[in-house]
Amino acid sequence: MSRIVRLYKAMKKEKAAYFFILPSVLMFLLFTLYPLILSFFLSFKHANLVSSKWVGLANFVSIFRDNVFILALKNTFLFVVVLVPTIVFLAFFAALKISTLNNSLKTFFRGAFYLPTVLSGVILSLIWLWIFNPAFGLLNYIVKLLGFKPVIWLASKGTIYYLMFVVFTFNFGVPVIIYLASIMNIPSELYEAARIDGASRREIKWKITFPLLKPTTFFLFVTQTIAVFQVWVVVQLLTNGGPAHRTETIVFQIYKTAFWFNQFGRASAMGMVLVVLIVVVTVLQRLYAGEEINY
Amino acid sequence: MLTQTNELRQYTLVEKVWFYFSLGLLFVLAFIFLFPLYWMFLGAFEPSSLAIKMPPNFLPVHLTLHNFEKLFTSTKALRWFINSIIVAGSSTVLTLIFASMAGYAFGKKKFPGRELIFWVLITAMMVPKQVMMIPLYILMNKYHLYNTYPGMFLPMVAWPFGLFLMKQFMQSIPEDLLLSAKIDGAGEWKIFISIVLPLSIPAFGTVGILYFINTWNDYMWQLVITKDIIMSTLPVGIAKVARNEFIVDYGRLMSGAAFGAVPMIAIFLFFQKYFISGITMGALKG
Repeated sequence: MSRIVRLYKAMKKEKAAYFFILPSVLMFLLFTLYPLILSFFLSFKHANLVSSKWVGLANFVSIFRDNVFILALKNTFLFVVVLVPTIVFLAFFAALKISTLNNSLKTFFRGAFYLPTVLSGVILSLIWLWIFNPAFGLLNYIVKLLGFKPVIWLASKGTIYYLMFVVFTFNFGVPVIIYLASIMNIPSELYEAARIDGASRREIKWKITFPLLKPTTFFLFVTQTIAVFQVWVVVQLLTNGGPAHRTETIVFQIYKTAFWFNQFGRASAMGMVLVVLIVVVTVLQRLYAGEEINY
Repeated sequence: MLTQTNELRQYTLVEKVWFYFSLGLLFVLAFIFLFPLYWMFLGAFEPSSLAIKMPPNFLPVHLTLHNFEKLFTSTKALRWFINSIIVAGSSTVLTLIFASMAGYAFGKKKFPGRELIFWVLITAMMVPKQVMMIPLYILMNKYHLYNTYPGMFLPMVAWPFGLFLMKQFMQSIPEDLLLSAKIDGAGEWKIFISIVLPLSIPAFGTVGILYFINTWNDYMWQLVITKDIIMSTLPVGIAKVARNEFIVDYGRLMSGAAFGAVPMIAIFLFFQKYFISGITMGALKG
């Protein structure tokens, strides 16, 4: 009983704090938690704007029997598996290199890599739509100039990889900036000590810089994985999931199922699958990275 | 002396070659990143007949505003621009108010439940927005907010990243300042307005800019929550132009893209340091 009284007293003493967090908490309840719960229940229903009916696990059974959704899962995994390590490791090398340059070059490269990030994925996708155009796009002009046969960039077997390249250009900037800031945070005495001990540049890179950046690397892996799992803008604007569903992704499937076909229950079930995937992958990454993340 | 000889020892010819080679690679990468933007501007300011010319012009030859004329007369681009400002502006202002209040409480006050509530709010960042979108869409329809400005910007306010940054920033406000104000008899609200807020102007800059850009660039929610073409935001409107045309007029499309890009590029160039501090603050202390 006295614990409750103490708690009550502590809460009363700081009652202003609850007033200060109230708007944010309300926004969270209304626009995040409540929809999330509704979405969970929706996934067990057949629902559209006017009606809904409880169907148990029928949505989940049917999406996992749906070849297109399975393909979307596979494609999304392909995006994550290829793109996330590429982005993180290239960003590491780029930041390492940039950190050795003088200030004006630093500013230039930081700006160059970050600029596409502030433009919307829509704008960048539309520019690429033009560059990829088979008849009068820049890319095929160059391909022909080099003596190769023109490529139908957005309707070929490799299309998913070309989309990955576009996504790469708008996801690369943030990791570079974060790595760069972390590298600058490493105390220079560490490098000096290593140098006096006769360590080579390669040894410094792999035995000092890289291990010290492990928390940053982990953070980037997690955030990039979550971001790439949700890839869809390039798909919607450049390929519509084609050719032959080769570039279909989970989020594009959710979008189509909900807003083209009005199958809200089925789309919510797909959403639940996405949430579970993201949580599982994040936890796995956490386990893999181990406890070394604490400094 | 020692470090000097060490420096000398370390730059062998191979290392020098590697230094310039890797610098060259970096320039190539930067070129790949910047070239599409140049290409967009070129396409926007050249006659649209040149956009489908082969071989293409790599340098501007005939600059014209014709594409923009077409853009503004044949589409509602100006209205989309205004919509974008209303939506991004409202969500940014609301976020700044809410996030600074909560950031102050989480950063400076020790109240029961602080850790737990904060953790719950932040973890919500991991949940993909698409999952909330379907129930939100149903709710917005139910409460007649479909195809309205509040429907467009309210869910954007719930993004907890701003709260996180504000908390990180306000933690560093010296305790003595708050305490002495309290001793002088200032109430909670007064302390917040007259001491905490003025000290947090850099945080407002960072959070404000990141939010404005984030909402401006938002695509999926703006796409599903609007019905009328005049309610579209700029990215949604331009994307619809591209999707609905059987034969795309690339000149006009690029002028639309440029119209959407220029405000973001301007904000970026003017406020670069706010971006960098916001992004790194979120990562390094997280």
